[in-house]
Parts: sequence; C-alpha cells; structure tokens
Amino acid sequence: MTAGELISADSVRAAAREDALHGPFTTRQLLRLDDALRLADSSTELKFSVYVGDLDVPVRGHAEKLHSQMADPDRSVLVAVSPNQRVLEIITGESARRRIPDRSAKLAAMSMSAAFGGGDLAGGLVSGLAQLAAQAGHPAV
Amino acid sequence: MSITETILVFVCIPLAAIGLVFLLVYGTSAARSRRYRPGRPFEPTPVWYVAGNPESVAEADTQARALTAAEPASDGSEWPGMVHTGNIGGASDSW
Repeated sequence: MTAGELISADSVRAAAREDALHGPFTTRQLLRLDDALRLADSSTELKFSVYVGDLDVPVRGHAEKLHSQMADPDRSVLVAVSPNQRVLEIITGESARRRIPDRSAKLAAMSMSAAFGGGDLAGGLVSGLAQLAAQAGHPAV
Repeated sequence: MSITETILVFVCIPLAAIGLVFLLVYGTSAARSRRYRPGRPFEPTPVWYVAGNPESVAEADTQARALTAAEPASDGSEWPGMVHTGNIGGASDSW
C-alpha cells in the first residue's frame, strides 16, 4: 500500500465520521444504533445495515441496488429509510429471507414506520432491528 | 432607594430573568433542530450505518456516496450496474 492510498483511506474514514456526526442522530442515539446493529449481527450472523437518506425513484429499485452493493448481499439485511419521502424499505438477501420471511419483515416495517411517524427515527430503527434479529434467531449449526 | 437602585431592581433584574428564559427555550431548540419531524424537510446528508470496524463504515460510506450520485436508467425500471442476487425479499412501508 502506498502513502497516497493510506491518506485517501484516512480521509474517507474521517469524512464518514464527519457525516455520521452531522447526521440526524445525537451521539447517544448513534451509540444505541451501533449497539443494536452489533447485537443483531453477532446473534444472527447476518449482516444488518441501515441507510438513512433520500432514495431515488423507483425507491425499491434504489434500495435493492444499495443492498446488492453490500459485501455479502445473500446474507445481508438492509433497512433503508427516506424521511423526506416518508418511505421505508427492508431488503433481505436470499439466505436472509429464509430466516426473515417477508411477513415478519412487514411486521417490523410497520412498527418502525409507526415510530417514524411520531418523529422517532433512532427509536424506530433500534426496535425494528431488534425485531428483525429476534425473528432471524440463531444460525442453524 | 435611589433612582439607580430602583431601575436596577425593577428593570434590569426582570430583563435578565426574561433573557435567561428566552435563552433556555430557544437555545436548546436550536441545538435540537437536527431532530426529524414528519412533514418538515430533512436536510442531513445520507448516511449508511453498518456494524463493525471503522474500515467497513468508511467503505460503506464511499459506496453510499457513489450510489446516491448514480442516476437511474432512462426507462426508470433498472439501475446501471445492478447485480441481481436472485431471490431477494423484504417489505416496504410508508408513514
């Protein structure tokens, strides 16, 4: 790795941190979200991620595109929230879908959108992630 | 009580108290203005949160930047470079 690559990786990381701090959440909410994501990942061995920002129309297509860009889309679950458009998309990969059926995903989506409708983005995400992780359960040995 | 004392007690102290209340009310709401309220515009930059080390966060963020910059194809149905991963599922909702 050259020095230039190191610098660019560092600056990207710094920019990511900067954006996260200027994002919609307070530090405490970010910590809760981080805890929820880590817990969901470690208990299910699936890869959960949360995207908060505008989605281009068609919303589902954009969310699927984001999901397909993840490291292991098959075992990934993406929760994409667009507060401006008031839309929420949950995308589950092929193996993730076997553990989180669409019906359970819909249930989690409904509870999340109820919280978002009340203006509680962080709370809705944390409880939604917990619900999805509980549905997925532990991986089969 | 001299005039100066009277002004100090009956004008300056109430004004200071009013100012303090204003500061408490509007100072805290300005700090909380990032909060999302349904129906109001939501300005923060798009962010993508993943669990794990900062490396993967940075990576995901780079991807998110690239993706938000991407434009849908003219027919509006497909995205350029879309990788179909087979049988994907999930759910949608709005509020």
